[in-house]
Amino acid sequence: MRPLDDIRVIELTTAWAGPMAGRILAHMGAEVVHVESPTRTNTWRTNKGAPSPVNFPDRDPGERRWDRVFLFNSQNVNKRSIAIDLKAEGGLDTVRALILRSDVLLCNFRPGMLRRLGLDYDSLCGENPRIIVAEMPAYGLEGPHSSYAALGPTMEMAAGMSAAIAYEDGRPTVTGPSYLDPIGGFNAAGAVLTALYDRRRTGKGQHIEVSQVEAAMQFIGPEILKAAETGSDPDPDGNHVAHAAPHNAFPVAGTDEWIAIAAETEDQWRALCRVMGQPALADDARFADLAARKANEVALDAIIADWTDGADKHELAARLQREGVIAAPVNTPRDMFESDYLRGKGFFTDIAHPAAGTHPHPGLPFHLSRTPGDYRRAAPCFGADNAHVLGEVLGLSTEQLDAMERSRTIASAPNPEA
Amino acid sequence: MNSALSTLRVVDLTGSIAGNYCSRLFQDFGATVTLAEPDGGSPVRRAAPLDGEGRSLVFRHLNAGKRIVELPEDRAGLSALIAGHDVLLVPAGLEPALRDIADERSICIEVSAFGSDGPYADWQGNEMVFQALSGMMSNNGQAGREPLYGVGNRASYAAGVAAYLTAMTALYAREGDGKGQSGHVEVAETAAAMSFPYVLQYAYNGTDRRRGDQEIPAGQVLCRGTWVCIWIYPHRFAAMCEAIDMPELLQDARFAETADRMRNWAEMFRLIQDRLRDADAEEVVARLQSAQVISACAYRPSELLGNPHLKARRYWEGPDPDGHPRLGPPVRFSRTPRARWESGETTEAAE
Repeated sequence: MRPLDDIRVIELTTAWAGPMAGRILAHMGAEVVHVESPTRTNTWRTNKGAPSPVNFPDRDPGERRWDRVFLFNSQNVNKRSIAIDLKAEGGLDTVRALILRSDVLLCNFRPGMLRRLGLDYDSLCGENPRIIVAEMPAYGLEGPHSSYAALGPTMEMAAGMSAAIAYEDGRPTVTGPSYLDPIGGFNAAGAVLTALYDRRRTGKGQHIEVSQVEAAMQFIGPEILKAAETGSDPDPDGNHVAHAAPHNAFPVAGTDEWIAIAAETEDQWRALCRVMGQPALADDARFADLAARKANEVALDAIIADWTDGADKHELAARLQREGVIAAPVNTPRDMFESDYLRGKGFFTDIAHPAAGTHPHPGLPFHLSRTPGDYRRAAPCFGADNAHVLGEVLGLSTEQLDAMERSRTIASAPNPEA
Repeated sequence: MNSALSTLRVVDLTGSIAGNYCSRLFQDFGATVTLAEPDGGSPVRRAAPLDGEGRSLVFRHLNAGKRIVELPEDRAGLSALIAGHDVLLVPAGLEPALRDIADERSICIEVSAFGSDGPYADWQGNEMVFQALSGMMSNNGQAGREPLYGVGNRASYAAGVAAYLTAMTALYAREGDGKGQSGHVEVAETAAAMSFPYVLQYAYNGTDRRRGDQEIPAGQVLCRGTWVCIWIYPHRFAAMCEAIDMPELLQDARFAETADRMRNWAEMFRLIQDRLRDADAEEVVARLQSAQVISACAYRPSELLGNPHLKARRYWEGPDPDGHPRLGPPVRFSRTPRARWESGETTEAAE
């Protein structure tokens, strides 16, 4: 028995943030139906333009590349897919009926879309007072920027993060391709669970607004409060921070391979000097205390970089940690895949996908003793569950489903021009 | 107060940012939260950044308004502390000691950097370490230079949300069968789970992604001291040129086709930079967004308190009696809003 076995979630989502939220709820047992459009497909299906081989198993897009792309398949495990054209005859009514027979509607499209479709909370709650509608607008549902289109990197900029991440030229830098998306996904899933808990006690649903920018601002709340109270911002300088030196990434053996090393205390600094075989450095006036090391950080970094050059990042990090120094290899995707730590935690699960094959999939970090989450099925192929969902949930007959397919209301492949 | 979690009692023994953010979320949504600290205070009280009086802003952000007690050192005191609480948030290694004194209905969640076992159990973690191990750091920054770890303690905050998710799932299950359970969340594993799924790409076809491998159709320009990021998808290039009043780019052979633009991206942005140097950043973004070109200002943290959009949304709360502002809620519920801010100061109270 999984905690959310009795919960059905309808996802009107695309890309990462919304699907990540649904993936978490599905992991806890919810039946999550990813509603897809044959005319405007989920961007993580990547079926527009020429296929890039790096997105597919064995670099082969195959005949149905939208079913084989690692992006979509990473975030939609455990879900079902229905592909239905909301603009075609009966499409919108069908989805509305599906939502009304469900517990949660999850949406990460722009504000106003649900209202235009008549699928907003106010339009649904009269017929289903228990419905929970969670919207994930980048900037919120109201306010002068609420209509702005956004991506993870632009949300990170609006949240005040990027301006604090920069090399010495001050040009804002973003975190990975889209760090704000999983932050939004986690927060939305948490909010839905909160509303479900409340509903279980009160019987009432409600509307949830997850402004992804505002949710992410919490993550640098102290830095924002500091700036708000002093009116000034720190000058970002790569990996350097005010409270530790050294604090940086240093080159090691291999191309674009690095190790992160930090000393937050004098004990850690002295331990680092010992491991480096240069104990005299600890007494060098240039590096005698934090203030001195900060004043001479360029020279300090150069000495450490000279020492790390050519080392194995994993062995060196382990050795430094054994001696009490903060350190870690800067892991690449291959390192992650081979990580003893992650494998020991059960982070990867082999999942067989009908179109993409069997691969170890990265997991979620939630561990419970009595009701753990699980992986029940691979990410769905496009429209693979049309018949199952519409038949089981809405009771549509085979004849009705055939008619919907003939009128292209439902589909099993994206429209060629989509 | 009609808060979602007002019937719940949570005690936080973690002494960590992740644990304290988890209990902050419970507090936000109405639970009564008790923070237990060892003699001398938890390490979070010393976490940077500090305010003008040398007090941790991390501690204030996470723990303002919580009831604070001293962490008992003996079993009897610990038993008394946790009695009657629905959720126990504990550091690595404490869960076994609580197992036989905790109520069978309680939810005990261990929140730690690396857990109690595994190859990193004895490692020291900080934000740079978590981001380095997660695969995220290797994505950040310019190819050829040192990768960048980010800012603040975002991995720990993410783990705080993960711990909240774990605890809420257990609470939801308990509503069904009345039984409690234990769980654990690690900052390092959470950071890995939030990294872009390049690890699955590696599993699919052996691609070991590096910085610079992906061509991002974006660039940044400095408008009167504020950086503006502009995403130029191929089908929006003409709209972008019109929005910033640079129709000449459309006639320039160097930028005629997508491939030409990608080849001459730096030169194109040098021209855009020259044109927009003295433009107002907000106006530039407004014009671009009207033309459906994705763009944004890279706000400095100090610009967020007076930000007109956030003001229009009545985002900021406070000030408290000491004049401190408070960040608005992470999410907004229509029927069970964030719990009222009881106090800007923590309440020191003996158990």
